[in-house]
Amino acid sequence: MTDAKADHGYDADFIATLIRRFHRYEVDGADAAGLTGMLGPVDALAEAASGGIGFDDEPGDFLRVLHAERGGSGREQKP
Amino acid sequence: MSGDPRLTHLSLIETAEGIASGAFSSEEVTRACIARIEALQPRLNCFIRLEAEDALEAARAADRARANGMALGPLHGVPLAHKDMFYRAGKPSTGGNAIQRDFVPGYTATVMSRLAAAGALCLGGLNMSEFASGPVGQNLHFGDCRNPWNPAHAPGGSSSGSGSAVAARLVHGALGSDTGGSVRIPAALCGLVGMKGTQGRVSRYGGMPLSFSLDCFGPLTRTAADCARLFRIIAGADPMDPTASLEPVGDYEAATSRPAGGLRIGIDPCHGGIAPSAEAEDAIRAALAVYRDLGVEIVEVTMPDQDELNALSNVITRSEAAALHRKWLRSRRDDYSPQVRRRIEIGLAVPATRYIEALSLRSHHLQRLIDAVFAKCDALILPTVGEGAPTLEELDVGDSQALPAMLMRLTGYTRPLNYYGVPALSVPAGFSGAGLPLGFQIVGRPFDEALLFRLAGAFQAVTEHHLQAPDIDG
Repeated sequence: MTDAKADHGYDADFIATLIRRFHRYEVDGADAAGLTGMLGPVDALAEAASGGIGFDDEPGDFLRVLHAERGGSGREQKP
Repeated sequence: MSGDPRLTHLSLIETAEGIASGAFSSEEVTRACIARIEALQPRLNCFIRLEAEDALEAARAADRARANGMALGPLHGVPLAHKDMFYRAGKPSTGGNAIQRDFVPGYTATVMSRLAAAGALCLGGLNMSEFASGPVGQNLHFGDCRNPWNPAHAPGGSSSGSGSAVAARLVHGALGSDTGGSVRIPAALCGLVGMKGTQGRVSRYGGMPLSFSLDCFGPLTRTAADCARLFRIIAGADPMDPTASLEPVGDYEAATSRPAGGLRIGIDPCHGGIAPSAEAEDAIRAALAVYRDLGVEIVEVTMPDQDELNALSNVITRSEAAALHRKWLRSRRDDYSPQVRRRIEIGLAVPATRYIEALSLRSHHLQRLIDAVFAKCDALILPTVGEGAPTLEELDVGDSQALPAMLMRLTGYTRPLNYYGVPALSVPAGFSGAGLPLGFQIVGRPFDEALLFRLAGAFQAVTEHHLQAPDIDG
């Protein structure tokens, strides 16, 4: 395994295989390399961020916080 | 009769008031807009489809309604046009892409129904980035849209036609969509006001999707008050979109005339870790000085790092876009431009666990923003784009290795705010040395759009950046 693979797990061969097996079509080597170049850094940052997740966190928590932290308290409702 | 050309330079509210009072007719305004669109289309390419005859017929109907004493809506007879992705039953909606070039939806988007109910006319479909994917405004299928301040420069995207058409005085206002900055970026680069509301503030029903967790629809206009009027009309709960919020809609237009004194604005000297150009930094400093003079307290805050947020936002957008497009990527791959295909195809390789993590972390990051920033101030100021509009040529990187850097250059300040879900209003901040518009974002707590309009209105009451028009007629 190269250092690049160790960093983020993606390389062009893996991308090409993944798209062929999971999505049932082919991408050429240049496309696979391009996808790897864009995906790698995003994945590395997302992997680092994932350390902050809790066992019972779920996507719906977002709407709860969004409404709990709403601004204005009604003060902007009236002219 | 081509209509008085001066009519196109009125604000949206001035136009609505003029039609309502009988100072001029909807048909006169609509003819003036059509004449200007036809004159400037070869240079700016704002329109994918001009619906001149339909708009004129609707204008004459609006004038008859007024003559008959019928109740008039707040946009009665005002001609608008919108990014070509908001469905109207029986009308084409291309989404700026080749696959849907001949698509005719069988139903109407809620935002379109609400504008029509308010009396607005529609002049047609505006140019946009293919599938609303791309912050530049290029389009291989319908031709690049151009910036009226300098046609060699990008208008910004993905709502490129909306930004260019409103700035060039072709229409009085336009809707766009914003998944990572696509309303605010063209607003900033074209010298306009552009609103991305709180996630769920505006119904997404009947708009072409890109990323259902992050998509927001919003207006681009020349003034804060114009933007507030459009936003109030399109905002609010919608039984057709269960993700649309039930929070009450404020009187945003009234908010634009309220004084800003006593409010607190936060500024992060590092802008979340991304340095803007010296000119953009100077424009931000000048805006803060204006607010200080208005009695606003300026407080220093430290924003969370933007890099991680940009990455998490990308994970969500790419995953959802890939799910939407997977069928076409398999069957019509060559109908995508290489850059857009590359950006969407990434999502096919994101694990489901990574996608769900990115969604689940949203609440943590929003809470962190509230604690770090909004515990100390009412609103935050950030650059919208850290420079004036680059040229189309320098942004033409295709699907090369330069693509991520180009995307970050344009969306670095805007994309994280879609991830947070908070409202952000881009406001004209002045001009670069090359005469290109600069903009700043006013960012607020969830559902605090009225406060953002209040701050924008107060700023525009004492500045004239928004009154400048591009010299595109020569």
